Amino acid sequence: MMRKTYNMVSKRVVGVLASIALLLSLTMCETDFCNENMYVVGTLRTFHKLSKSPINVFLATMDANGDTIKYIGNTSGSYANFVLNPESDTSRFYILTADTVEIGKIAIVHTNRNEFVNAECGVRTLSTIDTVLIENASEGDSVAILFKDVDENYDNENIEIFLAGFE
Amino acid sequence: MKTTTMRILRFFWLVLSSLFITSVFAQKKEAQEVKDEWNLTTSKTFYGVSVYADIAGPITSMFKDGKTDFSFGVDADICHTIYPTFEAGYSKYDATESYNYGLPQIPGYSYTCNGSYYKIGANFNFLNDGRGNKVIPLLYIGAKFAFSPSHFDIENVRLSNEFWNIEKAYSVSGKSLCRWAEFSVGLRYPIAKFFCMGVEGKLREFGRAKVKTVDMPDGSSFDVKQSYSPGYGNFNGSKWGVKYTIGYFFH
Repeated sequence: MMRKTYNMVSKRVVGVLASIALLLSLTMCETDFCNENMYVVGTLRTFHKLSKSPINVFLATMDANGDTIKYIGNTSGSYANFVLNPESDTSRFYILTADTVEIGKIAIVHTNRNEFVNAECGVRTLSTIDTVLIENASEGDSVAILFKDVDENYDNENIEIFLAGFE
Repeated sequence: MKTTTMRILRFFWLVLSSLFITSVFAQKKEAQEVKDEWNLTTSKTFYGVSVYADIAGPITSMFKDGKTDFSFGVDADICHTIYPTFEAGYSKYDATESYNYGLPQIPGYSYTCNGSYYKIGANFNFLNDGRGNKVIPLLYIGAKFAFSPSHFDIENVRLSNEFWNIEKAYSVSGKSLCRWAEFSVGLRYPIAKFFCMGVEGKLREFGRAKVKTVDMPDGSSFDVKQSYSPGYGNFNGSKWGVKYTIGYFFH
């Protein structure tokens, strides 16, 4: 009696599992997408030296001749985004007000690390900030590097700059 | 083309699975009608060793461009309950067409990886009925640790940055060590004396590859996170798979 029940149960289990395996093999169809953040940006905030109130600015990349290459859009009002140069250890930027008036220039010295993320996404460049220089020193007062890593986590606030002459 | 291939593959799975299910039930009926003298033995600790090969991998390789995979395994039958197991295989994967990030790739881009892989673990059989047979059907669950020393080749992968007007191509190759865990549920059934056929559903989890840092000729460093591994596939998540095996039980 026990043996008969055992055989019936095992027969059913065998059938169920073989069917599951069959269904699994029929539904296995892979589609892979790039799920990584490939847009690596750092963020910078500028403040008035005395009042400590934030200045809404955005940045533009600058080439070796001092010409503007491209404006960098901001993701949040008082946070300016910056993208570091993947081919150089120094990136220079114009600091601009919302109506594109230049209020400063900065140079960020950094170390780059290129990373092959995966087959779907390709390559991105991560960086570590070493130094931040305000090029027009008469208008700059102080700089603080809050977070050195410029990586795929764009919520990091990397740099704070306090500017004089805009009170 | 891809859809047609998938249809052909599905057809093959259907045929294989049907054959397997049919043979399982046919054997079961026979076993009840005829007492198999050849299969009788006394109860013991070590019954023998099974050697088996995966037939799903080679069939898939025939129809899937850029993929080659074959493997074999050995397990020991301890008390018809515990089956220490070792598997080894070779796999080659061309993931060039996987690139789907917004930017078009540079002509000549390719990403391939190849290498051997090894799995060590054990299966636990639930169908030990204590009848003293040499070979018995298996309904088992198992766990294995797997690793793969593999080789990757990345040619002309694009680095693009619109804010600095940079377009650059990198080529890099090297070796990488990948590891993962594998959990399985399977069936194996004697189809003709000591020849056995099996089907196994496997879940591959915790796939990791050691990041390889390559020094480039221009002085920069390049970190490669292998995204594929022989024996695992794409590391972008856990992976289900089905393995069909055919093997022989040495008693």
